[in-house]
Amino acid sequence: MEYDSSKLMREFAPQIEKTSKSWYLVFATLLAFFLFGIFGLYTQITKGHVVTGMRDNVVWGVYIVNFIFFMGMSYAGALISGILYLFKSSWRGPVIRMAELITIISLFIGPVFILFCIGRLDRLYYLILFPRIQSPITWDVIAISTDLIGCIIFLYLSFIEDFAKLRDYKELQLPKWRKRLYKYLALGYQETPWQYKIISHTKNIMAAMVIAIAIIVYSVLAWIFGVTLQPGWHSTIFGPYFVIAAVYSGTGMLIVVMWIFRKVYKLEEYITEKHFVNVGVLLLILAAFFGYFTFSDYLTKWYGSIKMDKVLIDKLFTSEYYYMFIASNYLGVLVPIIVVGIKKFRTITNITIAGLITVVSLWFNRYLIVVPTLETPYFPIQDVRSEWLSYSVTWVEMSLILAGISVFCMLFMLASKFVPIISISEMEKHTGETRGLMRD
Amino acid sequence: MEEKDENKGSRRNFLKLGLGVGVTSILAATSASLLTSNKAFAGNSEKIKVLTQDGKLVEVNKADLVPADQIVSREDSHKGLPNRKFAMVIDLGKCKNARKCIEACQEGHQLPKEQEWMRVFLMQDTEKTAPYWFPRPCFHCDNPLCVSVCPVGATYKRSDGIVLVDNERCIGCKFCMTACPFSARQFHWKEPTTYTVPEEKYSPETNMPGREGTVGKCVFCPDKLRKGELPRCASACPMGVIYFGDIIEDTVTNGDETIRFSELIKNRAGYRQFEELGTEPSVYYLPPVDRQFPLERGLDGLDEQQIKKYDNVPYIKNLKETKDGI
Amino acid sequence: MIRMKKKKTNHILNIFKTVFIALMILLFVPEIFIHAQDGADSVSAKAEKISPNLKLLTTKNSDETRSLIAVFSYKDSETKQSFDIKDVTITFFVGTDSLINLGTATTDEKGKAICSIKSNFDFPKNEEGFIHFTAEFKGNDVLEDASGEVDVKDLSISLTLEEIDSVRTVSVKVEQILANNVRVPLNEVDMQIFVGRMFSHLPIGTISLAEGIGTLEFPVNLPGDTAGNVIVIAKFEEHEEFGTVLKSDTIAWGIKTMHFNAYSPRSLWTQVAPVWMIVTLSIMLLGVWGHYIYVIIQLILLKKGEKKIA
Repeated sequence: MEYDSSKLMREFAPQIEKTSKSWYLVFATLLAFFLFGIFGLYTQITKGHVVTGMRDNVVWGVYIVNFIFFMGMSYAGALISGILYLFKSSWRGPVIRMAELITIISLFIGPVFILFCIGRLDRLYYLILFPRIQSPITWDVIAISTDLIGCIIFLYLSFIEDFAKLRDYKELQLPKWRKRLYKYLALGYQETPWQYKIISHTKNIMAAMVIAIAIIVYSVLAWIFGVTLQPGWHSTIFGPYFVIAAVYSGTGMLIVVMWIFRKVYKLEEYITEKHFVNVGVLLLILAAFFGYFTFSDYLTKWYGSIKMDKVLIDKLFTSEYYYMFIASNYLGVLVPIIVVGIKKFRTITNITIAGLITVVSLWFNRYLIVVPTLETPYFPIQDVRSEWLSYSVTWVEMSLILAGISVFCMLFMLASKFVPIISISEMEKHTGETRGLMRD
Repeated sequence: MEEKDENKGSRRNFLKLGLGVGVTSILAATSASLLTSNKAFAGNSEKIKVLTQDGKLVEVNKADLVPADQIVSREDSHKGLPNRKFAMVIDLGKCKNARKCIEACQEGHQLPKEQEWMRVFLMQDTEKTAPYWFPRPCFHCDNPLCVSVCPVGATYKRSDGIVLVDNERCIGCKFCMTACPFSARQFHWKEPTTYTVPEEKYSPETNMPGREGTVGKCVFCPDKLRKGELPRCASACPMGVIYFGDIIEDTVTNGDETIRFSELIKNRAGYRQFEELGTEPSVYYLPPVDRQFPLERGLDGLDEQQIKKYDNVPYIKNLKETKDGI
Repeated sequence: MIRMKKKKTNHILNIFKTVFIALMILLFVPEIFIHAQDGADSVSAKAEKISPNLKLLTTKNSDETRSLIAVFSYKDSETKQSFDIKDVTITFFVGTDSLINLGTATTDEKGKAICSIKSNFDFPKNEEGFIHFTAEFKGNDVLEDASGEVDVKDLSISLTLEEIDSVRTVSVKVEQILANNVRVPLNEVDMQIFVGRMFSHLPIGTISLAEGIGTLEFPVNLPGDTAGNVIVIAKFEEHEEFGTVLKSDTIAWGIKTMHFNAYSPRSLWTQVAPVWMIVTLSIMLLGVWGHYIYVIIQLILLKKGEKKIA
């Protein structure tokens, strides 16, 4: 298929120009959830962390789970867009923007969840004032901020060409300040050869940087768990395991996002079954890797079982965690493999369901990493307070999870009103590239 | 009758008030007694031996000493007592879960009833092995993982081996709590209400008053150590279970008995709990042999709820099953 | 227990009965008495007073001064809990017939009041050589009067620390000082030798005194301070005849100890990180941020190029 800029602009301008009623309705609903979360946060700040389900043994609960989860999704863009860009995959055009947006949005949300876990937010600046670089949290602070800035630069680079297009598209029905903003952000890009060279050169650099940093960020996150002596956490495999799990969940999320935007903005022409299958194959490969890592992690713990590892594994297989374990580590691996692996099942809907299952089961996978371990300390939990014995989520934590998800959606909705959800310049380049191929 | 009880209560309160914080030291007592007609007193010339910063014994006038009750500032609490390295030895053969160590600790650090810096676990390693009572303070490890992972330096290890938490610095990330394999650390999940110490008197050495959103734990009572007294748990134990001392001078004492640390460990096969984790604790245990009391004695005086917390211990399970059977 | 005895003889049971009744009477009579008083109009303050315990101990210090230590406490008869009472003034006396006032002292938070007496003070002694000390508390609104007493003989310990044939030897000579300064060597008594430690005294051996004299070999492997100094103490602790008597001396017989640089200044848990960590982190950060800055500079160049085209 061939695309040229003016056709694409005509196609995508309405998405930016007009906002439907249902958009507002959805946005308002999400906003309500968000405000509910704010209320939950207010409760937690005024009454103390006692309103959460966390106690002295399970000191980290769903907040940390969400932190890992969102950070993991941020990987989607970083790795997928980076790799797709570097390797010049011919089909990347329509999905690359969405992947980048997932990255940046979840990278904003993820760290916020770790803040909910911190007892004294008023002293947060101590992290910068009195840093100890031996602490993995300090590594995390450095790595996440570096990653965030890197991703913003990368995202911006990929926006410049589109900003220039929006600036030059005279028929655009937008208020003046928006047009001026596009003009400012386009940095005077005119698609001259030297400008194009700068953009593609810097984009290559940032793609490489983003891939490298994302691996570091996710490894550091894994090391927060890995460096401790807790059963189930103290594992050398955790770094790469978390990296794979992150890309995996990010890819699943990308499929879900693709499906939603395809439906909402009627992008059937651009996002085709081919894209779903391609990302689906990526998902399949990652599912296999993820399954492999999960298996080898638990196998080594189970086979030569040190006492505490055995207690933990017994807990995972005999208590209420059993179904969660099966759902997250079996269904979450097997469903994508079967759906994408068998040609018959490879429909858009099926792949999307597989993607959704991936995302959800990965959330539970993280839950199973965080909570049961903390419920299995070396010394037995002998406490007269029953709520001290095990962890259960409270409404405050629930409200903040919902708020996180709604902010994720809200930011996506806002982003889709600011830039075309499909990168026009990438689509054009894609056309150019295929033309070149045909000529050869 | 009622009236009488009331009077008794107030009388007891009076006595307790008399026990409250106050800076009447021995020093004051001697100077007060100077006013005597026949001049029998030696006055303030009483000499005592103290260890200087460079670790030398010197003799000083007792009167020249700064009162020991003075609060050690946050900065000064980073410095350990000179040329000291503290260690605790816990004789498991003598512990009968009298819980006096816990109570003394809670009273001394103004902790609420359910918050135990010092814990006594009922341990039973397997179903076939014997259960025993296991007091667990903070281990004040020589390779403290909790200190390693702290992002802001709120917890630190001093030259005398003591690991403290500065709750004016702590940001409450709880990483130290997950890093400690011994569950020694506790979080203030809500604003604590039990503290009567004013905030400006805060010292990491006592970790009082506790603050919401920060971490607290056993501190080895440096405030007591500075006065040459044993930690609260050690002096409170009626069984003399807890020995404490300086391993530089190779001596530990439980208040009644003073022994060389190395000999105690050698003769009684002392060990450290979870040695394999490599944190190098400063707390040593003597195996639970030659028990002075049957284990059940530890259950005396505990209510149903307190016994319930041991439900997962095979011994208690058996005990309850046989009871139900009858 | 009782049942077993019942089977054996009824006789024992009868004795038990009698004792039991006697006990009951003893238990209830004061109660009745108190009730009668309560009933009789004014609640007498005297009946509500606490009767405290005053325990008197004496220590003869190494510098020949003598300390009188009064411990003032109260035991609740119901809870069996013991309280130390502080801020109470105690007066100390010596002598049997004519009391000499030694002065007063106030109890600290541990209920302790200490009275120190000069080394050259001439205590009155009875014909056996005992000195009689008393401590008195004059009651107040809450507390009843209390007194404590102790009789001790004066004892003189001389401690010699010297190397005899390259063996570090602790020698003691112990004499009782009876009335009229008659000195009698202590015989067939065991005396413990200690070294001073942070919290307490560590026993290093026992000397059996013969004609008031005895020796002990000082252990070779005992840690001292940084200079190897140890305090050697010869002591009787709360002896029934002498009270606490001690003599101490400092000597460099210990092993020199050094704990200052026991910990590496750079490790995982210190404030300052290990060098490799700082180097690794710096390299990574420089690498990444260097690229960021390069990219940003490129974008600034792009922006500047705008003007050229316009």
